[in-house]
Amino acid sequence: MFVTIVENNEISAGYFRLAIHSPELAENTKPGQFIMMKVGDNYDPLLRRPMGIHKISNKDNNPCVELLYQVVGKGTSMMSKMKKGQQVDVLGPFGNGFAIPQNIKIAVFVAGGVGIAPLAMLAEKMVKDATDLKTYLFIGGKSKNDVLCLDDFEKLNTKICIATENGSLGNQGLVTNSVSKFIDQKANGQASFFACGPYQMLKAVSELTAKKNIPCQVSLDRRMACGFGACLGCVVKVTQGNHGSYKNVCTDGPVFDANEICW
Amino acid sequence: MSIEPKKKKINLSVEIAGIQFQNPVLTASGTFGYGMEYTDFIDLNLLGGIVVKGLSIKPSHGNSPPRMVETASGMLNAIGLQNIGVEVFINEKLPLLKKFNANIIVNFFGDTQDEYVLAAERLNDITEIAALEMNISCPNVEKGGMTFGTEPKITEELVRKVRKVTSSPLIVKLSPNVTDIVVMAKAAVNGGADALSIINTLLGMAIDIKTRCPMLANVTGGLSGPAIKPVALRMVWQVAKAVDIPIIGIGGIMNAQDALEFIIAGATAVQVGTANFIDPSISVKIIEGIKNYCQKDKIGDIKDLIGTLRS
Ligand SMILES: Cc1cc2nc3c(=O)[nH]c(=O)nc-3n(C[C@H](O)[C@H](O)[C@H](O)COP(=O)(O)OP(=O)(O)OC[C@H]3O[C@@H](n4cnc5c(N)ncnc54)[C@H](O)[C@@H]3O)c2cc1C
Ligand SMILES: Cc1cc2nc3c(=O)[nH]c(=O)nc-3n(C[C@H](O)[C@H](O)[C@H](O)COP(=O)(O)O)c2cc1C
Ligand code: FES
Repeated sequence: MFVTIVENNEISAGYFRLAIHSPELAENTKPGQFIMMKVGDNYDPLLRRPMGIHKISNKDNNPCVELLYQVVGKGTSMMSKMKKGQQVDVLGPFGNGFAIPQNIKIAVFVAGGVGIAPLAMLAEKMVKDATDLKTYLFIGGKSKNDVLCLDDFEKLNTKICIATENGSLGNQGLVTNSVSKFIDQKANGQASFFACGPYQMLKAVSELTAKKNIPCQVSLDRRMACGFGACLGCVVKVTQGNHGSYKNVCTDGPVFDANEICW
Repeated sequence: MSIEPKKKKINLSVEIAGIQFQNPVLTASGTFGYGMEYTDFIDLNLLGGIVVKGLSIKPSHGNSPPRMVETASGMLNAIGLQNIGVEVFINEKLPLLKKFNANIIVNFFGDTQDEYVLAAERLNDITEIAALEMNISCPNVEKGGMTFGTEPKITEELVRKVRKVTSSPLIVKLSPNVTDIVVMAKAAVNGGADALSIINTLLGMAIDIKTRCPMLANVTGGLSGPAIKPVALRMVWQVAKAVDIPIIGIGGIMNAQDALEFIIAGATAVQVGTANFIDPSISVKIIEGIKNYCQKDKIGDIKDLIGTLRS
């Protein structure tokens, strides 16, 4: 389906927020779901690019969905040049999205870099729907420039803990060091973790939460050809599964129970 | 003001191995799942045929990820023929698929000659299955992993064995990774093939220079998409001149123009593969495009276009 770009702004060096006008997507997307976007109208790049939905918003009375993306290669670089008013071809929403546990008391979000994108929408929805939910955000990146969306979480009264590899903001080091301390000292059976970011970060969070039997959902990022279960190109190895020992990240995921993944 | 001339009805139907196809556009194996993956996007009733993901007698897990990477105007895949197995297909997928008008073609393979025969036997005589398509581009486990489809003697022997156990129309899908495609085509014909699908993916690879690792866990993978179309078209043309059985053209078909090129080169029908990933409704658009071309060029019957390449 063709949708119109309403906004495409660089919010930090190399990171863009792109809003598209789409009542369908705004109405039907759950946190953690994604769309497949055609970038350019020729054969290079050939395949659509998967992009998580970052937010649902209203711009000038137009229901929109927003993406938050990092420029990493050809496709995202072309996306960064898209202009307001331009039409783009998208498919979706696809994927399962996060499962929001009932009567949850403590939600802990762990984000690495642009992995914050789907967590922002999730946190907003969870806080809106729950009566007394305590939220924590552990966010990490290479430098200050890679730590995004803090204001969105401040609005939700989330307790925020930042880590950067070069120490330019928050603690110096990996975000998982802070997560580890938190789990040792504070986290208990009432907490649920939601993580999105680089594979190694997700793996570390999964090990930390598993040790204390804390539920943890992770959103995985795989190269995808179709996004809707037809190519079997996006699979992840799981401890047990319905497609043999692999599951499709696009249709069975992208969100998985961390215990389910063979890390 | 001119009045639109009344549109003449165009006959898009073709026949392959005794089966009627309402139009010459099929979807290629491994790019269309088991069909139902696409019902949100298109009306499967409109397709000429659906070729399902390659099946083996036993279910198969497939290769380790990463299995897919994009390349210039194409993609490499090393799915490793992950599939649910013939039995589960017959019991769970076929009952859903058979409700549609499109011919169902079952693509199958084996790791050994015996496994091919077992799969073909199990799939034989199922009325909902219009034809079998035999994928000979897979590693021959008994022969150290060399593919069945690169050695003419083995191809002929294997096709003959399968031919003996099935009365279904038998389509043999050729591998392009050979020195002379015509030799392989003739081997398949001698073995008893009713039709040929040309081509499967071309073997390729890609490297990440940052890590110096291959982009695919399997190191090599099959190249598909617009990048391979000229090669596929050349092979269809060469084989069409050399054999008398119908050919189904495959490789990089993205639009009606591409499909028409294959038909002019000698293909009776075409299969659309990678293009389905980018636009899941593309096959229906291609059918429309072919119809429009015939209308414009006053071709009343698509069969009149097959193999009409001028010199
Ligand atoms: C479900 C899902 C949701 C996603 N959501 C977001 C999002 O909200 N924001 C965002 O910035 N990115 C997101 N991504 C990742 C995004 O799809 C890739 O960054 C993008 O496809 C890269 O395209 P490119 O042409 O710029 O890079 P390419 O030139 O294709 O590749 C550049 C580099 O990125 C890597 N890469 C390519 N595709 C992917 C991929 N799908 N996943 C991981 N690495 C990849 C390549 O291996 C290479 O190292 C998501 C991916 C998935 C699967
Ligand atoms: C992801 C993927 C999976 C495939 N799986 C199969 C398969 O199971 N059996 C088979 O015979 N061909 C398989 N193919 C090959 C296609 O059917 C087709 O021959 C090839 O992709 C060339 O056509 P295209 O360029 O239109 O994609 C696969 C191709 C792709 C891209
Ligand atoms: S991306 Fe094609 S099956 Fe997941």
